[in-house]
Amino acid sequence: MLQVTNVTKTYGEFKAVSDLSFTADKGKIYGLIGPNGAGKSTTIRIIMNILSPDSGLIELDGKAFAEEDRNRIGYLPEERGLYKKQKLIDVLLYLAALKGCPASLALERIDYWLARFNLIDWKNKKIDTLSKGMSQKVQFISTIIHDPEVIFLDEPFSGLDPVSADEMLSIIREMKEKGKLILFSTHVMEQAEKVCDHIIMLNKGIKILDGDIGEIRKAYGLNSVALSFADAETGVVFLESLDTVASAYEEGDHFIVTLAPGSECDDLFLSLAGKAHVRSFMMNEPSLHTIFVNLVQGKGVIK
Amino acid sequence: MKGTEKKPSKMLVVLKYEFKKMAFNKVFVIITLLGPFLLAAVTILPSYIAMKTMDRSKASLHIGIYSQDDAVRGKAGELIVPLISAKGWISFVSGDETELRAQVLDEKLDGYLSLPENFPSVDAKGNFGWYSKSTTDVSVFGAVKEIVSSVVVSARLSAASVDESLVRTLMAPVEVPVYKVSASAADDGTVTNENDFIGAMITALTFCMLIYMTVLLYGQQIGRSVVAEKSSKIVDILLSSVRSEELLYGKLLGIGLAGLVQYGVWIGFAVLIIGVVGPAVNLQIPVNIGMDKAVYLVLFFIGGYLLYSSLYAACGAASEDDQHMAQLSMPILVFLMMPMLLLQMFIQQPGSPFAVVLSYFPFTSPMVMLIRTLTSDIALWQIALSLLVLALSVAVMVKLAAKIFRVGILMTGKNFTFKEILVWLRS
Repeated sequence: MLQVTNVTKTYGEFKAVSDLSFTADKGKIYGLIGPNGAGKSTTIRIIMNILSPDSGLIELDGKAFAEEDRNRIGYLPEERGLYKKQKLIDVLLYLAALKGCPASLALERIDYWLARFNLIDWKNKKIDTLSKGMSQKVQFISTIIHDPEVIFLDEPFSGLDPVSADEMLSIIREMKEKGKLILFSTHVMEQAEKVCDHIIMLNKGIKILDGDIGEIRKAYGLNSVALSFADAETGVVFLESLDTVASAYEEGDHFIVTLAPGSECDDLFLSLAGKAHVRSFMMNEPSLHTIFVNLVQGKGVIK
Repeated sequence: MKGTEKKPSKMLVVLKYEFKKMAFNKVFVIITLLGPFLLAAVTILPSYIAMKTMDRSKASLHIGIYSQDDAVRGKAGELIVPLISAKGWISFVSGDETELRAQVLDEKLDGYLSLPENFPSVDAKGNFGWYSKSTTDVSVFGAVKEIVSSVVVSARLSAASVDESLVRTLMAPVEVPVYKVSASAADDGTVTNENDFIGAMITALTFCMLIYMTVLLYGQQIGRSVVAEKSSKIVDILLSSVRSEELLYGKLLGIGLAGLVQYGVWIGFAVLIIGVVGPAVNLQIPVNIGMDKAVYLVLFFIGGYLLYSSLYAACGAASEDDQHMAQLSMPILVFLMMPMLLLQMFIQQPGSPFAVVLSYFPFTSPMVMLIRTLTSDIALWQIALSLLVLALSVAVMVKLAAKIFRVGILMTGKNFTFKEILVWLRS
């Protein structure tokens, strides 16, 4: 388990991270999301002990982060780069050795991963002969080559084609099944929605949201329903006559209903029963993007 | 303690990688292998050439003596030929200049001497001429000139009724042998001559060149590799694995070790040439590198290398590109180049106050103290003091560099000025 407690980091006047606390468990994918400059990369650098915080504490399995814990972490930085003039195999062996992974074990795993990414023919080629996508995969391999328990991925999908992105996503899910703690940061919220079990949202170095993705949707998405009817004559007038509905409007072939205060989806569904032929009924979940915008525009910080 | 065991091992991983990267670099291999030839070029070649020319004046040369005048030819046979024979050369007198020219061109003759009509009673400079294919062969020409001069002077003396033998006795030059005074009695009294001075100069020049070249090469190599790691962002991965100090020290030591291997190859080659090849071909090598001098060379290289390369690493950490690093390191470069530019002065006046001060100033001491040990006798304590000052400066510099490195290497997207770097040092 990773525990971040009251971490603050300032650069001169600028507060990069402000009193940040959260916990993350193994076997889950955490999304650290927020716009550019929200403090995501700084947070990851602090957790990995690349930067030291002004104050606060990083603990892994209940103990303060120590030197040897570096070997338990894998890190894919946002901006990719490898030694261009070196051979792929040499670079991977070096990065594995830096994580305390013995050469024999590293060689075995390199072969496995290169085969999996269809890169085995490039094993003895120099890095600068690889395409951008290929070197990104090599970099991903370097992140997991020492079989870390905690994996940090900074914008892992940026610049990847859809097939490669899916390939990587399935491996990330595999890692999750193996019980790894995965923390990944992105500014693309749709991506986070697709991948993460848990969201930690940052804005200007301050945590504005922290919760299970299902719970977040429940908390922010239950006041709106999208529905359509089998018969054409049932419409906005009918919907607004119901006690459970505060307001409704037509959008394409369906209606968006905002529930009356105190009412839930089930109440609306019950009130419709026998009065109209419902063709579709769907909770209209707001995107993380909408939630983010709402939070930033004055709904305040939620702890 | 598990923690303390882990720390050096990470640094060793960096060290090993940097060493391998450097040692298998093409430029490095070429310099390592070409170094000895370069050394040979500046050390053996001059002495070999000097030996060859000396040999030539000693070899049996064929000299022609020409005059149109029968009487002059008779005088030449009487006065010049015996003196030339005394040198072991063969000479003959001829009146046919065309034939003499042809023989010179055919290399049957090494040259011929043309005599004026009034020989040997010549006043002023006379009207002599030396004709040879090589007009730069000073040793042969000089010998011929000496013989002719002595003949003419004798003739003048007897014409003035002066006793020639008396004049020679009175004019006999005295010998002033040169003795080197050394602190160690064993060396005392060693007669030095011009060759020894040239030897010391060549050695000093070679040693300085080596230190200058290698320190500059490795220093810039480290600076550039830091810039490359920074700009390729690989530094984030590295720092997630090792502490910045481990990364810096691993780099410094890894590349430094490659440098030591290079020096090992060079010194081995020098020992081979001076100890084995030289005597085998009877070559007198003016370079006298004692083992103590080789040890100084290596020690001063290590000190100079660590001092300059840690500075370069710091400059690299504060730069986005190689150009800015070169700009930042410009002031450093001045100290590295100064001893090279003032080399002649240091060699000629190794005891001047300027040279003495610079032989303790850490940025110049590696080269200046080396020159002083080669060209004059320096007490061991002075060398030790210079090394101590250097070692302390290295310790301070590495600490400062580590601090700059730690902050700078994560600050991407900007080139930093000295002012900003100073702020990092204070924090």
